[in-house]
Amino acid sequence: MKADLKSLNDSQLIGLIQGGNREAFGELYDRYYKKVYHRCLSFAKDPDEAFDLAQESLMKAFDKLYTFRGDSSFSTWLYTITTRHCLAGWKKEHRKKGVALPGQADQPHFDLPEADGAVDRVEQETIMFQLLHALPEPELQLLMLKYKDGVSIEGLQSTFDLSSSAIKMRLKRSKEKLNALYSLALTYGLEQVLTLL
Amino acid sequence: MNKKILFPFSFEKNFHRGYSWTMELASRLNATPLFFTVIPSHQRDQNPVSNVYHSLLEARGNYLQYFRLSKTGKSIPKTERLIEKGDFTWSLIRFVKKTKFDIIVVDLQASELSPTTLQDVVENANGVIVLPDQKEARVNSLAGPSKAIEKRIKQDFYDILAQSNLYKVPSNFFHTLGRDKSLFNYLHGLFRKSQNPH
Repeated sequence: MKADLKSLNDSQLIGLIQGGNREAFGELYDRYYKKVYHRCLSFAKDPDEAFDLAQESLMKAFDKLYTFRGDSSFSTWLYTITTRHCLAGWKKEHRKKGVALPGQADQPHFDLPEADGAVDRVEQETIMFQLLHALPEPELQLLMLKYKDGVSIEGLQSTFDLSSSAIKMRLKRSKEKLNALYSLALTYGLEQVLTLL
Repeated sequence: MNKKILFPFSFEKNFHRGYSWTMELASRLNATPLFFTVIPSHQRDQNPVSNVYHSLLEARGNYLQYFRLSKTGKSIPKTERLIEKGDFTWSLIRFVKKTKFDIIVVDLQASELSPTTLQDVVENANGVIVLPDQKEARVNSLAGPSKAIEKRIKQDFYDILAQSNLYKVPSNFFHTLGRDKSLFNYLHGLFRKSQNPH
């Protein structure tokens, strides 16, 4: 029976799950749980947090499976739910800490270029996060320390053993690079741009 | 204060049954399960931590599939995880000496604790439940009406409890468990069967 389920596509499995087939649920879950976990890793501060986010995202998705209409692929639908859930958690945590989120006008922020109306906010943020995490490690670390963890310029100076002006210059260049990559991603697609990095 | 249940396991073994049973126990006791495992020092895998979390997610999927697909009204307990590195036995004994749990659930096939180690765990624990050997792969038939499947799943939980070895389990454990209506129904069913063998 399990071998038969492996040959079915996601939509067929969803049809069976909606009819109460538990083994179909198991098969669909098995196809995606690792990918969901790795997506959550890019939002989380550590693997344990990513695990919690992944559990919650998978639960949300499977609880709401009855709402899946097939307008997009199941994987896109699942990843949208996952991204929204992770972003909601990220924003909640940073509001508590009083750390500025990317996009807030009163703080240095990542400028998200005007997007085509068809690209909704979640997709914008997803693309930006993917690009962010594709940056070289030192650049990513600098940006995350400044904008995720709220470390001051003075703090970054001692971490990286650089002058204040050097830190500010590196931050400025990284943000400009991200903005440029983001524009390219909107034009040519994220996958294409990721190959450049 | 929330009760805590510990389930130590080796992530390289099949621990699904112990995981699911611990989750069901936690749900019935309104407790928080903590899943404890150790990455061996000799582990050469590039990403052993990811493998542990993959295993836990896989076990959770198995649990959801067999125990939770239909709404039972009980919420799914939030879990905690502790992953250490080193030697499993030594790390576990050190941990149970340092942290007291209301119940420790042991599945010997998922953790391979020696009798000496098990004795150490029992000495340092408030209560230990050692699950019965799973002699062959359990084939959970998921065919049939949903209510029948749910009844079978609940019966499985109590059957496993009935076959487990219990050490130092406090008397209020059964009192708390007995608040679960399904236990009453199960015991009621057993009682009726013994009165009426036909």
